[in-house]
Amino acid sequence: MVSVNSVWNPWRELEAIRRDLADARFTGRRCGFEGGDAPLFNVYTGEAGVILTTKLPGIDPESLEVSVEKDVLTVRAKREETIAEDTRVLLRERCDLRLDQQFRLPFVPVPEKTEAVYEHGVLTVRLTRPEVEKPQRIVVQVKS
Amino acid sequence: MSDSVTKNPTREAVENPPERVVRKFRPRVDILETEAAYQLVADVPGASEDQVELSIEKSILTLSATIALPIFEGYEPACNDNVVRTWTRNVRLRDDIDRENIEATLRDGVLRVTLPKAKTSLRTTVPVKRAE
Repeated sequence: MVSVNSVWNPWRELEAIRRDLADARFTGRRCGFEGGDAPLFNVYTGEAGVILTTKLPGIDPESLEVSVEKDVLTVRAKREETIAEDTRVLLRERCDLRLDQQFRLPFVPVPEKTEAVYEHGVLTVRLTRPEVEKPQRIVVQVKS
Repeated sequence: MSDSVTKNPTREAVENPPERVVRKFRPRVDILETEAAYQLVADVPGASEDQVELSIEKSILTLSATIALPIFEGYEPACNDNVVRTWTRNVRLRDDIDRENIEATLRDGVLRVTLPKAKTSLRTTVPVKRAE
């Protein structure tokens, strides 16, 4: 499970660099999704909540499952490509994708304002922070 | 403690993001062959039809796409991924491709390019007659 918060985490930075290198240099040898290896998620944080995006090209939208239980977000998806019998494979770098990942959020999101959009092979999940957990500005009373 | 020790370059980059960084990627592709055509399938997540470019020069097919990660107003990227991604892949075409009828479609971040074989290269069966 991955914890989402806005605190800077140097290990996460290093991990993102390592995966980018693997993605760019070893195309075809690793897919980044199989065998429990988690896909890359981009996380955006703000006062209103958290947005997560991830690249899931060619996913059957019906296999996509996004759910929230208390402060845990679960994302499940899969891509299984079938190749016809009369087709010869000359090069195979793309692979079947299987994603089952959970994130612990820093708040319990508002269910009515939670939305997930899948467009151009990218999943975007928007989670809204409840009003009570939003940062409150406290007026400082100056007494002389 | 000196300033150079207290400064954290990565944190600085997160707090004061520079102009968007351009990173180059090589999309993963499958190349399939049927009796009538070749098919190139490439993952280009995030790309729309107008962001993908296909060109042929001599015998090289070049696939390229430029995708800027979205900017959400009021949100900061927690992983400092302020990046524009360019995807480029070159594929050498065989001589037996009918270049006039190449077709490409894009759906859910997957590009499919159909490269039909030239009729002259398709397999034909020659009937054998009995000699008299």
